[in-house]
Amino acid sequence: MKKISIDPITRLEGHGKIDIFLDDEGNVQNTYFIVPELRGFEQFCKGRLAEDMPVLTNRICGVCPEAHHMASVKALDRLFGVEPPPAAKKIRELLYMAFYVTDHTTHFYALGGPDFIVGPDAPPSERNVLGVIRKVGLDIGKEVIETRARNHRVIEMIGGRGVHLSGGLPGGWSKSLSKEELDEIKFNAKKNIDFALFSLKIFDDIVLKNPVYKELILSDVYIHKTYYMGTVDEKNRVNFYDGKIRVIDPEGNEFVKYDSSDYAKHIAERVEPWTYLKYPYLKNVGWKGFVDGPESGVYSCTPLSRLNVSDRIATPLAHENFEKMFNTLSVKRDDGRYKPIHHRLATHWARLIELLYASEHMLELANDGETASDEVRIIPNGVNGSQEAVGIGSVEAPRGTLTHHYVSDEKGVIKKVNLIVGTTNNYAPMTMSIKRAAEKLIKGGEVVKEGLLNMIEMAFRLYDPCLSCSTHSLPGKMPMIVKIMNNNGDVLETLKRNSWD
Amino acid sequence: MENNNLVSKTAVIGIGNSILSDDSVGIKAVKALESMYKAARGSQTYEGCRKVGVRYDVGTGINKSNQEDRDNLDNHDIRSNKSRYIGGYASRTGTAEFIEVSSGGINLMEYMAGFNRAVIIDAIVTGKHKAGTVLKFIYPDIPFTKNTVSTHDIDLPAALEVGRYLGISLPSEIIIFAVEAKDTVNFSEKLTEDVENAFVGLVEEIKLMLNF
Repeated sequence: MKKISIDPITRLEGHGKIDIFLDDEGNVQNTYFIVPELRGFEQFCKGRLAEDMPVLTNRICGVCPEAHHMASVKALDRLFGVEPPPAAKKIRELLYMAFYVTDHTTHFYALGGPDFIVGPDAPPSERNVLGVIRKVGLDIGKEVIETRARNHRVIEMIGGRGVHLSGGLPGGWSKSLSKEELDEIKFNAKKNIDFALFSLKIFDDIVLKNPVYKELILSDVYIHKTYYMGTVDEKNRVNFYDGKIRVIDPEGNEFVKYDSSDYAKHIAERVEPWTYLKYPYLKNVGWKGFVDGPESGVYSCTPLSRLNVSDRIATPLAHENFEKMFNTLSVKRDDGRYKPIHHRLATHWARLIELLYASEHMLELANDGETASDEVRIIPNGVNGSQEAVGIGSVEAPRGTLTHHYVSDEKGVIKKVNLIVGTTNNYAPMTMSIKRAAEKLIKGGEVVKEGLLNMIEMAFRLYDPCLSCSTHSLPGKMPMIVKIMNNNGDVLETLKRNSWD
Repeated sequence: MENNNLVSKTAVIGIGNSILSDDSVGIKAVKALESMYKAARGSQTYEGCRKVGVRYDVGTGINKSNQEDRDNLDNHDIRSNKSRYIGGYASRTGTAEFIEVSSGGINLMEYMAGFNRAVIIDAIVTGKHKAGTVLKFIYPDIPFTKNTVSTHDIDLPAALEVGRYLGISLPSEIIIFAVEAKDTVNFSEKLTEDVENAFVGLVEEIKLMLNF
């Protein structure tokens, strides 16, 4: 049996490894995605005051502190048994929309976009963000930076700090918004809408109108028929900040809809002996391994998953694009809902639709009179329990449902913490996608060297994995080395790509 | 040729995770430096003097020992009378800003916009040096330190290239202080002993370089 190992070759030696095992015929038998996790967070939190959690947890991850801050403060609302006033909820959500705009913009233009805009077969030296800017124009590159900057300003304005925001408190928010601030946010939101529409037009012009790319999206390499998860409002419309968690089966039937406080009834975590990673799966379906289909509890939680579970989008322009995507890649069911889209590469399209939704919703929230109210907090009287209090909160992080679960004593001192971070939801499908890409390029012991690394990268890049909070971080450009070994462990061949290639 | 008498704006950037053991070394260093700077100056300006037109010839490779790097830096000590020697050096006034950053790439590049010089402090895991070893690098000869890359961003050299291509005003001089870390996996507010022992030296070295 041959073993192929793919390692990042930076300072993270031995971390973030992909092993591909071949059977005796030289075909892919299994792939293993191995990343060591950060350790000791629960112990680190024990004995601390619960109200410190929003500023502690937003330091877990340098990429999405806003998501941790929101999930944490929502968990605290429940732990302290206090319902924030409407203005506080809307201010939180307003900040969260600005965060989504920056996050999705970065992914599309710097990470996911190069494969499509520059082309999956373009040389790596061109298949990067500079290649994107050269193709779409210098002004657009400037607009990407400006979009990030203006939304970072909004995050700082609302959150108190740019890096690790501190506005969230149990029962509300630490400050209200002035008319001037809201005017600036409205101005920025309108620019965001224009930018999102432009981004969708680029996707339409460059990707959808190109038969080669369309074929790639429809390719069976990138199809998995799993369950899907996402948060929806009372009308089953996608919502990033609040609502119920809805799960649909591979045919599009609602499997379950639950409050995040019930997550443990629905989600279990599979432990495999070869990795520190835990694989969340649907407890009431069961773990059947890294396989798709209705019998397997593997689920996905991505922008595409969120749109798959939604009946519609609450904002008009985003909904128009939602209809367009589903009419292109899916068909309507008898009940009027669309069948889920299983083509994983469509996640990039879904991400841009979410970018537009976040932009439109940002404007709605800024225009909402309630957002301007000075009543932004209800001060709690203590924790919600005589001896022990429990608070569970969740939001949709850009990379999947993020759940924070705290248990404190009667004084609000933390006793127990459990987090399910966004990326972990997708560990099982990511592993499956890596395997599928490897199978396509390795047959009968013959390894198609050209494109192997990028095909595998594309397979998990679409999930926008952020491993820095769930695991050790990996390099952005994913330098990799592939080792092909025989039964004795002798290295027969090495494929290597440096980050700077 | 660099401008001789410009008002220098230096960004001192600590990057990392403040609650992840040695990964916090950059954040801790920038906080310490900010306190010292404020105490020493009592204002936001400092008198400085630096070599003009020639890059500091230090830390161009990770194989250099800490002492070698230290010796090299001393050769270009910006405080020393030697550095005021006419012909190669020019004095100027400047300000320093102290910035905490949580992740690298475009995000880090954006924080450097508008500065003449950037000093970045981060953890690094090469596995080749004793924990606590301080390595110095001058852009463009820079390595991938712990937080200048991210799965959700591009790496720093690529980000700087993008920034320059877009016409963003970026520092002409970027110096990275990378501290070999022992533990970047376990949550803790403390540094490991080896890194802790190196911390004072690290801060002093940067303080000397910034001349305050």
